[in-house]
Amino acid sequence: MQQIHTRTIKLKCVKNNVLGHIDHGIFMSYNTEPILSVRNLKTYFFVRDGTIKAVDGVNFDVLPGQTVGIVGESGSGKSVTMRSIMQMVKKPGRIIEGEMNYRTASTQIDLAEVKPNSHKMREIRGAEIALIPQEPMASFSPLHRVGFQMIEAIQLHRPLSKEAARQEAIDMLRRVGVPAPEERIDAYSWQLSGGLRQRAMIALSLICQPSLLIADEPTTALDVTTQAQVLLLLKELQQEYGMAVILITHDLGVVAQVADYVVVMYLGRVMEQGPVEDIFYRPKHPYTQALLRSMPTVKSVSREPLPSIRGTVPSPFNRPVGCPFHPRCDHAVAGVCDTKTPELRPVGEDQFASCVLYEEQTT
Amino acid sequence: MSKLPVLEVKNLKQWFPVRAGWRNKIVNHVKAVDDVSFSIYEGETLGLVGESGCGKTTTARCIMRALDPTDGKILYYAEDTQQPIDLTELRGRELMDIRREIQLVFQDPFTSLNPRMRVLDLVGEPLVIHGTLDREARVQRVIELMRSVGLRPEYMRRYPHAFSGGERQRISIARSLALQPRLMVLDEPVSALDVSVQAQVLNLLLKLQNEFGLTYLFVAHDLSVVKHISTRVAVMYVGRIVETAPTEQLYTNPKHPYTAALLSAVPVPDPNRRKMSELTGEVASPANPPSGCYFHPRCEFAVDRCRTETPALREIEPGHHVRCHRADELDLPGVDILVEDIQIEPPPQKVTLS
Repeated sequence: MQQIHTRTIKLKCVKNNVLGHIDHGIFMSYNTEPILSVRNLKTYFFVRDGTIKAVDGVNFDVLPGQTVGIVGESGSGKSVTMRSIMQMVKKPGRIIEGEMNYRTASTQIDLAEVKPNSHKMREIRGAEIALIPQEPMASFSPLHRVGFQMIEAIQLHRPLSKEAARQEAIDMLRRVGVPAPEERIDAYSWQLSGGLRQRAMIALSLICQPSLLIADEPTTALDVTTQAQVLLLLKELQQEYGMAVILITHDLGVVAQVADYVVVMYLGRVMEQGPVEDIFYRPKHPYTQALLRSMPTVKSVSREPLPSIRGTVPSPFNRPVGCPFHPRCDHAVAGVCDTKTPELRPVGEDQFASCVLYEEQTT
Repeated sequence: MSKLPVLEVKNLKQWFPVRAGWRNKIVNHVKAVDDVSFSIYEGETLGLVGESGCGKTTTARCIMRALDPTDGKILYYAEDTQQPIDLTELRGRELMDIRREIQLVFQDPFTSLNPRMRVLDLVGEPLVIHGTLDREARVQRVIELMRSVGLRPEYMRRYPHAFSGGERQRISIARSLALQPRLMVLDEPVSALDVSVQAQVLNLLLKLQNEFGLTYLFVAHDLSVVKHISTRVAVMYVGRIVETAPTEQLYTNPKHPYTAALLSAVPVPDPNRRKMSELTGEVASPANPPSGCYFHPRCEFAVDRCRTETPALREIEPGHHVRCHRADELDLPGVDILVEDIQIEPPPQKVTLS
């Protein structure tokens, strides 16, 4: 473990040059190995009416113990990115290209190479990389007790007896703050309230102590007070177990509160990424800026028109040529933005944006 | 703003029976709305906030008379005579006439529009029902309405599936505007929309309000959105209103511990101010609410009196009503508006192209 984490930047540069295709010396300013590095990930859906490029060349890294927030509107491809990492893309979708290098002390594997239903992937899913789905109501089986589903997960990955697994499950439920876990373990998911159900889901996903946790809109279905409870719990557990978290959400407030690093997606592409302070205080990409401006907050001036983004998110079938955001962008340059798709460029320390307005600075 | 009330809700109760046993006996009641009183004045926006299950949608549906309230009065003041009409006693024809003046916009633009009807028919349907215009005039009116909500009239022969979420919500708004209502009940009109589209619809609602002199009852769970659009806010908890005040006052100087807890739980989009405080426990069940003040099991300031005695909604400052025994003594934190807004530097202007 230590050995990997203390590798120097230089070693990694060499490594990334071998792997990478967009390495203009980017993604290299930290001195620990990322636990997951996604490179040029492309996941397309081949449907009768054409090809939907749900994820179209996404790059980002997740460091051990870090929380990476992926923000985007509906159709931005944030959930498909998550499904690609878990190798859970449903037909007619397929991962076309790209690498997803997952490294821990014990494993080093390119997830893009692994077959979705292979033994290897099943070993990783749930044990190494766990998922908290968006809708806990739809994710628990209503026919099985919560405990049964937890014990099943434990016994799948660890050689424990049923009794030992049950005890483990009770301990885990207690850890995530479910009151009277000895009784609740025999409850059905529909007998629990929204907040408790999400806590039980967190317990289930953490039961094998994963190194990477993917939380897909974990609090969207919850009320504000419950949302605060769940987010604080996640944060606490992350520190306790030292795992990395990918938090997928559309709520910029949630990202600002919990993420260390932020990836902003739009129509399957990364628009901007950087440390959370940079994204919120020094956003560079016109999309990020417009998104932040258009958001009402509890301290914004009441009843003044918000600077909104014009138009709507285009349908995935007629994606704009060039920069996907250009038809809605106030800074779009005619003849450039509508022809050329910009790549991610460094726009600050650790901060990257894919916009032509920043391309001059790099040359 | 004139101080003429448009609507006055008095001690509104909506209880739903819980039946059990082989004789289907009523064993309990879910008190979805339990003693709610408020007034809406001409030209204002009253925001109604609360967590799910607190009865805010039920209140809205009672006002629309989609439900028959168990008890209480809903007084509507007609524009010309200023005579109160009790909506709970109306039926049939009389109710239909009132419904011209009170219109509802639903939460989900994907399920509230009939997929088999064209926009022209959807927006024009209220005009057909109330039979005010002939066909030609109706088409003209629909064109006018579509323009005023920012939709292109050329699209009026399309079906709802051809529109995005934001556009569909515009169709819903156009439809409810068709009869030139006075009061619009907006039930979570932006919560199903994307962030970038939310702002557009909020701006549209503000614009329409100025243009047509509308009065809004804005029901929502998102405190930021409510702050943005409302002139006055009412906070609900387990079927009761716990606090009402002018927007700024409520957000900066909340008097009820629940309001303060709600405000501090909102994730602020500012990474340097990470302080989500935790409100422990769960929302009480409206079928089996706790004794005394409904909030006392979760309240950190609760004293013995709160456990036994139900507090009344009382005015502690002009226009500021609170349902809390200890409202005068508590000093609760509100939203810190003194913190400067983040200034965003625009991207560089690119002049030359390589």
